[in-house]
Amino acid sequence: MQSQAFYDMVDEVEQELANYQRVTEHSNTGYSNGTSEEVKTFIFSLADANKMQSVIEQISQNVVRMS
Amino acid sequence: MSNIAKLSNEDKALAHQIMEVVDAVIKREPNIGHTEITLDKAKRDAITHHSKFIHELGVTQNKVDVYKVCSWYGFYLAKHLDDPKKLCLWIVLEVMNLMLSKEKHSTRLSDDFIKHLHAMTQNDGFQDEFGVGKNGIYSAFSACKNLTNELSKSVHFLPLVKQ
Repeated sequence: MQSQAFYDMVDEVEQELANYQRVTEHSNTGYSNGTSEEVKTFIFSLADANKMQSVIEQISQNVVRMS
Repeated sequence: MSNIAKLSNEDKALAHQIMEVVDAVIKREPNIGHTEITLDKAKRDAITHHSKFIHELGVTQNKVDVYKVCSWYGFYLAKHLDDPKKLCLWIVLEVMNLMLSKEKHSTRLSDDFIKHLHAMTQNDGFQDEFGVGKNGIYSAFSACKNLTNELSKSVHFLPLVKQ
């Protein structure tokens, strides 16, 4: 999926849920973690094709080992 | 009144990039049947669930949490893809563990615990709206990150060497 198509999808869902009614009442947890700067830097570094390829290889090998 | 904040383009890019990593591994796995349509459907379901979740719990969130993105994307991939062994879940769990290892206080969940998470999610049957599986995976990783941060405040804490 191209980036812009993904962004459009997010906008569309946000719009659809703008008037979403809460089904149940919860106390407001207010808890929001976001993403740490360290992980953000790591994820954006994967825009580099070589780094991405290396990570894909690593994950694939671990999946074979685990499954 | 919605408390779903509009995400910045940087946060959208972050979510998109991590889903691209998962997709790239899925596409090279011959035992996972997938199409662009099913991948996109899983993305839409994950985004929708993410928005509903923060709304239900009254969380005002204007930053993407990649552990939420990853765990819920994985759940909906497992639900929509032709993937009898649920390899896509292993992929997502490995991606999430890799992210944990990149946190400031590097850590990882053990192989045995990852296997437990995979089994627990499979047992859910992928039919629930707010079941143990997708929220359980997110909570496990989020708790691990939170605990590591708390422990790091102790002088006795020795973080793992980054891989």
